Amino acid sequence: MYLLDTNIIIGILKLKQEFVKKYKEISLKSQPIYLTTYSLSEIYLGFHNPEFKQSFPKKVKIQVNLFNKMVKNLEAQKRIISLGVEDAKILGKLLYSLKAKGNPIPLIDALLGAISISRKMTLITTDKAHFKALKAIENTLKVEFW
Amino acid sequence: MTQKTISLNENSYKILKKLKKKNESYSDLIIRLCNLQDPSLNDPLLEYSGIFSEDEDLWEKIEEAINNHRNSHLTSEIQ
Repeated sequence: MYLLDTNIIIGILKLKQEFVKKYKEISLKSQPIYLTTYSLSEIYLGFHNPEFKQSFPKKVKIQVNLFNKMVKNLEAQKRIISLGVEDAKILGKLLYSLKAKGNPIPLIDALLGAISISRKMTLITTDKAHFKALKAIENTLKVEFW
Repeated sequence: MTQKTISLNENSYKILKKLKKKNESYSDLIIRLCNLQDPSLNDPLLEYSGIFSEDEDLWEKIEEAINNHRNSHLTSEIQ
């Protein structure tokens, strides 16, 4: 099972060929592939970008509509997840370890890491720096960098 | 929804009939079998891939803003 970070989702929606190709490859290997509500909120944040919203209001509306349809379909396939009780236990451990090591990382990275560890998913991301740091603290984190 | 008629030989029909679950239509069965063969056929992420491609440069900037936002909320803020 795989979990996609926001940068991978945006890359696929931008039709970044390298990501689309790799995504198709993993789709054949392992299903389902999950997304988190945290990534969705980051993309919805993107739609509020002032430059985008003010310069291309019609385009934003079209993209939001298409994105909403995609989310609805993914939700119907139960592929959108968020922090559950067991994930929270892992997150607590990670937060303690990160603090003890004096090595803070973005909170969303810790959330994605905790969900991946707890549910034995491989996290796919482009963010080497933070997730290598997290793996150094919790070796059971499975992460693939695209 | 419009309907299309396809012809099957006797053997193909028998195989499909064996695979069909209770309350499953032949249309649903064919979609299920196609998804087993190639899961990407029914994947919303691939179906909608490209919706941001027209504004790739703008989405680069948006991604940067998202990253800045993510990097501004660190685990160290939690007591």
